[in-house]
Amino acid sequence: MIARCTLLFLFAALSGCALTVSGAVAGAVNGQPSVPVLSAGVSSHAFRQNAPVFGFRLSSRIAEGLHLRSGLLHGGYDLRVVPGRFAIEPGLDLGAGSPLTQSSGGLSAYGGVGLNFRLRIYGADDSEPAYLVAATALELVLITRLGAWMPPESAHSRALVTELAGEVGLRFAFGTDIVAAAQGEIVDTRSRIDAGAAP
Amino acid sequence: MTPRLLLRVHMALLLCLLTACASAPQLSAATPRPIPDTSAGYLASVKLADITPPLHLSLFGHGPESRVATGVRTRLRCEVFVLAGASDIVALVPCDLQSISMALQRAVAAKLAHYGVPIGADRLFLMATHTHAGPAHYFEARRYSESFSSALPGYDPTVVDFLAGRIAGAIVDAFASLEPACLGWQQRKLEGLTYNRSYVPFLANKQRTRAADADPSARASAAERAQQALTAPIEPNTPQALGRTAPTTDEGTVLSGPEVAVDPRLSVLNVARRAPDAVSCKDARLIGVLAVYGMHPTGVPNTNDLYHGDIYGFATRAAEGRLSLPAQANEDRELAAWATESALVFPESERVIVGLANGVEGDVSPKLMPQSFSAARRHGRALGAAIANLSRTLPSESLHSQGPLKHLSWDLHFPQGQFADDAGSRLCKSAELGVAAGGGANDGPTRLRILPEANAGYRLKHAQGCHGHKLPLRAGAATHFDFPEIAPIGLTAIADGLLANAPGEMTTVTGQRIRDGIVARLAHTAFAHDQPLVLVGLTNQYLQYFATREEYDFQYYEGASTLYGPDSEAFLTRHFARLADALVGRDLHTRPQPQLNAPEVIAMDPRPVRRWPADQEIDVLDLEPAHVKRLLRDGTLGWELEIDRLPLLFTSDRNLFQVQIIGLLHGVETVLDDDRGASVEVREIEHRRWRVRWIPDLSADDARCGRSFKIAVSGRNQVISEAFPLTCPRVLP
Repeated sequence: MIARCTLLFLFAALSGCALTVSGAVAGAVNGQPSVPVLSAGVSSHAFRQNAPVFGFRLSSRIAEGLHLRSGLLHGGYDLRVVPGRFAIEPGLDLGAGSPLTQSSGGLSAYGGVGLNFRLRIYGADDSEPAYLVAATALELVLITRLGAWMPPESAHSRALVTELAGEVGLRFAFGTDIVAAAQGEIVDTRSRIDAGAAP
Repeated sequence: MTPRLLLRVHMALLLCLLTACASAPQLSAATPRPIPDTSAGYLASVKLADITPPLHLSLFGHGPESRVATGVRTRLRCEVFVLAGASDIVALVPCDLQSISMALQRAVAAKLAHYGVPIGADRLFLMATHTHAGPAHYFEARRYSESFSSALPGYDPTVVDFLAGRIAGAIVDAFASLEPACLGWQQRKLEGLTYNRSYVPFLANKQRTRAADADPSARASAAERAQQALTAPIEPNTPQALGRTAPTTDEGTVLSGPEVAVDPRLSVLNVARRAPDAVSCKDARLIGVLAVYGMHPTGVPNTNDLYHGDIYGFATRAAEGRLSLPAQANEDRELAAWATESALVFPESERVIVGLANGVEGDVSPKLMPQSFSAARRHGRALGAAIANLSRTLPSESLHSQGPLKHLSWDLHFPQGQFADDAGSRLCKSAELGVAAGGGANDGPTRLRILPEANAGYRLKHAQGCHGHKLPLRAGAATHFDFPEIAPIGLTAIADGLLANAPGEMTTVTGQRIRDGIVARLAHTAFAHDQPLVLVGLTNQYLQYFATREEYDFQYYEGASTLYGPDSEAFLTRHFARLADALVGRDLHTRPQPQLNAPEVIAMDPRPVRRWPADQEIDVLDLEPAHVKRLLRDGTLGWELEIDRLPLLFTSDRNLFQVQIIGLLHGVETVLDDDRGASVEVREIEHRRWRVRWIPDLSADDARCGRSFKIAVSGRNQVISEAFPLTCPRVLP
């Protein structure tokens, strides 16, 4: 019984969650060479509707191994341009860590904007009406962001480090209509029949 | 001959041999025997097939609420009616199953072909009683065999083979036992046992029937108005005061609107044995009765974990007892007491076999509350009594020794099937189950009703696509193996009646419209308008429900379970009308549907699992002497004993395990009842034990009270209890 309840709870809690893994190139606007990057993040999304999203990403620089450089909090808005197929998600990023293109010598703060593009390549189409007990989707994502790193307090230079990144990856999303918004209603029909109306 | 030439000759011979082997005919089906000569009249045979499987399979019928079987309350069985006449032959087989899968039907047909019996898939009508306490695991459709379908999902070919083997074996036996026979139909209304559980959608149906007095909608409306009139204040000297009455049963019980909103027809086909050289049926002896009545036989709640035939299982046994009781034995109170619930007290040669198929029952529930075994038993006994009485009203001289026997079977492709004359009028491309079906019907709700969407009437605010207001329920990616796409309908002329078979559950008005369509096509033909036309559902495949378009829009349980969209009833009505045309020799425009009597090959991808229990051999075990206890359980008095747990497979073979009730009858110790009747229950209990319980249905002045009996377990293991008295409960004055 406890196992069942736990599973049910997890099932409901994980609804509207997405795991994204992407890799790309990040560059610095100030002329620093571009670097290869690998990122992974989790985010929330609303099933079947345009809605705010929240997420968290960790980015690592690939250079003689994987070096974790930053963590970003992301807040945006999911716009389903072609429902069930293609979505755009503008948003804001706030993070901490170090620029990908150069070491800042300490903990820096980041702020920026992002624009993500998502194309569903496999899985449940949440645009057509259906009660999906478990809806999974695999999407191709393009994550773009532009922002600036504030140097750490200990740094001599106070110049901001601008960062531009474009990442391509895969996103695995899970949702369930058990906790999603209602798609229909129960109609009071007897009174309508008595009144001679259609159901 | 040189060695080189010899080698070439040998190679050539080898090549010829291999070629011959490759082109040799494959040995599969035996050459079918011819249909027996029916020039002298009808031939018939009636047999029983026991299809009780081993324990620990899942029950099927209540979706995820179904339980795993831990015992047997009434053994599951099929009654086989093989009828031959007018150079045709059919097998009509009601079975204690929730429904029939085409995998099972084809498996039976394949076995019959193997034995050379000339009953192909188009002549074989497996008709499920719709008990929700039969096994699962025999459905090729994934949504009937995978997640949410039952407690233990899975398609197991061993279960299919077991069921098909038992059914085919009985058909082979019946075919080999065909003898001269007389056939005849009888029909009457039987009201008061059922009600319409989806009354609101029923009321929305637009009346399209011709005979207002037969139209359920009109009768229901009249019943409602009459009931309102009964309860409203009556002005003197008004029509209300001058004798306007509500519909009543034969006993005078007033019927409500929902109780009238059903198809109340009870039909019986009497099968009687006549002497080989007799032309008249005057001295024909009744050997079997095929009855048809429309009702969900769900008298037992979905918490049940025993195999049983539910209301219909009790009904057939009760009817058999009454019909097998010789007229001259009516005064024998003890014999009559045994005969109220089964025919096992009579010699096998004197027993009448009763099969009960389900008619128009999609929105029809039994009128009993609360559900329980006792209630199901009482309801079944009432239905069984009605069957027996109706059968007796048809004297043997009214039966027919010769006449029509013609079968028509049509495998229909449902996806995008045409439902009207306009070529663009098509059913939906794929089947969908509505989410409202997940909550179960009103008389069998599931726990999913905590979700608002899984309640009756939940529908999309705006109709979308082919499926209209239905909100489809999906779990995972859809495939075209999820639901059946091919399902047969049948129309068979038998003696003075017609039998129409549908592959699912027809609501009351759907049945009425199909009936009207067939009758309209047969007007001015040899088939008289008052000939019994008997509709049977749940035959040869399971497409769930067929609600009308008006009912569908409500998305109650029946509408949500109408798989191919709101025009499914129109599709069925149209094609049954076509079958009626074919019956009287008119051109049948079948395009794009297949030809008649030409079973389709079905594609299956069922992903087998193993649910059949592994063989469990045990040494011959001396069961310890068993002490019988008299106990009241769930308000029912019974006598029970406990034995060591036996292998799970034993319940599927009465040679290995059976229970008998032994006592004195007319001074002779004999087996008076056994586990094939209605009174024996076997179930697993804790500590690796089985409990065998005898639950005789005792009336206040039962002639068996005070007598001594023994309970015997026999087969591989033997034990007989000590004699115990049947002490009946006292009746307070």
